[in-house]
Amino acid sequence: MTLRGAAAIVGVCELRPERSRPDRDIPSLLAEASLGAIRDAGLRKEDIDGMLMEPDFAGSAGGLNAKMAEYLGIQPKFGAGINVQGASGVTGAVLAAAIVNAGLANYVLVACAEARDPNARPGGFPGPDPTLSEWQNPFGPVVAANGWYAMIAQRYEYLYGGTVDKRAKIAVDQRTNANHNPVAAFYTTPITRDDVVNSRLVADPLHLLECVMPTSGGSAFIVGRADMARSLPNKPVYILGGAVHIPRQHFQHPSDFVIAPVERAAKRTFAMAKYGPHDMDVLELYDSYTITVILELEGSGFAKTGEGADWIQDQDFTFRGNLPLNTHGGQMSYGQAGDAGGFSQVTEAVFQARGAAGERQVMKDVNLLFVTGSGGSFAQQSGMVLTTDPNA
Amino acid sequence: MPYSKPLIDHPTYNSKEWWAATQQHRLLYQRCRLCQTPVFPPRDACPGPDCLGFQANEWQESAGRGTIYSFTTVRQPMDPRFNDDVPYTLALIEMDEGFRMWSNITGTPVEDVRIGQRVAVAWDDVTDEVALPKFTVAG
Ligand SMILES: [Zn+2]
Repeated sequence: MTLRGAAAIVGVCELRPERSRPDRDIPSLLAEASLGAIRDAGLRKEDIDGMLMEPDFAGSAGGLNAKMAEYLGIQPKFGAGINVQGASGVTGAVLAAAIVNAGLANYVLVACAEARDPNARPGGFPGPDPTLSEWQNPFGPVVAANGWYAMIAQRYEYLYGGTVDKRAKIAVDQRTNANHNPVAAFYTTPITRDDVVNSRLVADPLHLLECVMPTSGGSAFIVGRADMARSLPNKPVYILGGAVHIPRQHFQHPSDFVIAPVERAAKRTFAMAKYGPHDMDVLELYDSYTITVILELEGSGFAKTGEGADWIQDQDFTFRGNLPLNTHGGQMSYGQAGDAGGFSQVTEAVFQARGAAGERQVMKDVNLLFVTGSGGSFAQQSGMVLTTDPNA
Repeated sequence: MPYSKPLIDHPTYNSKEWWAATQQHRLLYQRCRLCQTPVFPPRDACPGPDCLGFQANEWQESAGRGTIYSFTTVRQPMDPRFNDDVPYTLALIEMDEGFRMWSNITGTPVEDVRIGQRVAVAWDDVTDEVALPKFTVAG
């Protein structure tokens, strides 16, 4: 059984990341992105017969599909949740492909939005997680996810080196990409390695410029049957393979957390796609922090375990480079609209695959793209291979 | 002055006994009586491989010793109640009994904390009912 090539992403819409949108609510942002994706796909509302709506960080979740079906005026014949946090964009695409492949729907709308209000929620992040709070909160706040990923980076430094001067490569190359993306949060601000190294420590050993940029925003995309997709206006972006791995919720779990969960998902993704990591032309890898990307590169087979921090020094991750990575700027420089941040890697992959990324369009031919998502505290990750080549 | 920092926001029925034991400075964890897997945080299911144990986890008392698995120094508190504490060290402790827990390292300057250091529990009696198991670097 495989869903290789059975479905394609046929429409996308990415809302501009804004520092906050206290003027808008989640349904409004979800609707704007959803209608944009339907318009982009050249479809009509009636064509949308499946939906996967992912709640925002605050989890305004209950009955979100039904709420948005009514709000939009659609009546899908299949709907479900995704619920893997930052991994929901990639996972949603793979799940939608499976739904289409199973004949449950022809066009599945997948969407997520965040109406971050910094006044309501400091840092834009949710309140205590009831399943974790009693084991963490009494010992002091971790500054959102920074503390979790700082512990990963600390352990990686301890085992393999890979200090901030090396990790900075990810932040700098992604910023160069953002400087060519007019809607990126940091479009107008270039940075150097020294800027990253000299930015203030947020949580040792992570520096400010190694961290995500929380924003408001939203994303939607539509996954359709491959045979039907060919008659639509956009070049279909086929899903060749995808997988998810969910090993744990949190760090109390006695596992080796410098091994990215995507390690297992990537193996299955590449096996299904019938390609390997070194066949990939463009990478859109979930970037909450510099260390996240380095460990995903290791886990996905681009670099050996423990060698990632050195290996990245020899790569050019800009849109002009040998291995373009997070060409929209990534969530560190483009922006992270809550769990919709992970959707931005999917929509950016589609823009690049179509050759429609404007100023930041990758210079070399784009045939195969690898996209990842990551949820929670390095808890669950997904991978996906995309192509525009119907014969790939 | 009453203790104003966050404590047990959402105790589960599995954790009540754990918190009650802190008052007597007893650091509890669970172990599955079917497969001996150490379990923390406390729960009803055994997470051990190929074990279907349910409500088979039994309370054990930890000797309170372990090794720093990783840590971070927090310099910028998001919560004003911790303003006087920064910088402070958050750490993951790999306990000798095979479970891992989140805590603070106290009594050692933040710049001297290292992965691999041996640590021992140092109870902080924050209220009459609850003590927090913090850790100090052991000689
Ligand atoms: Zn067991």
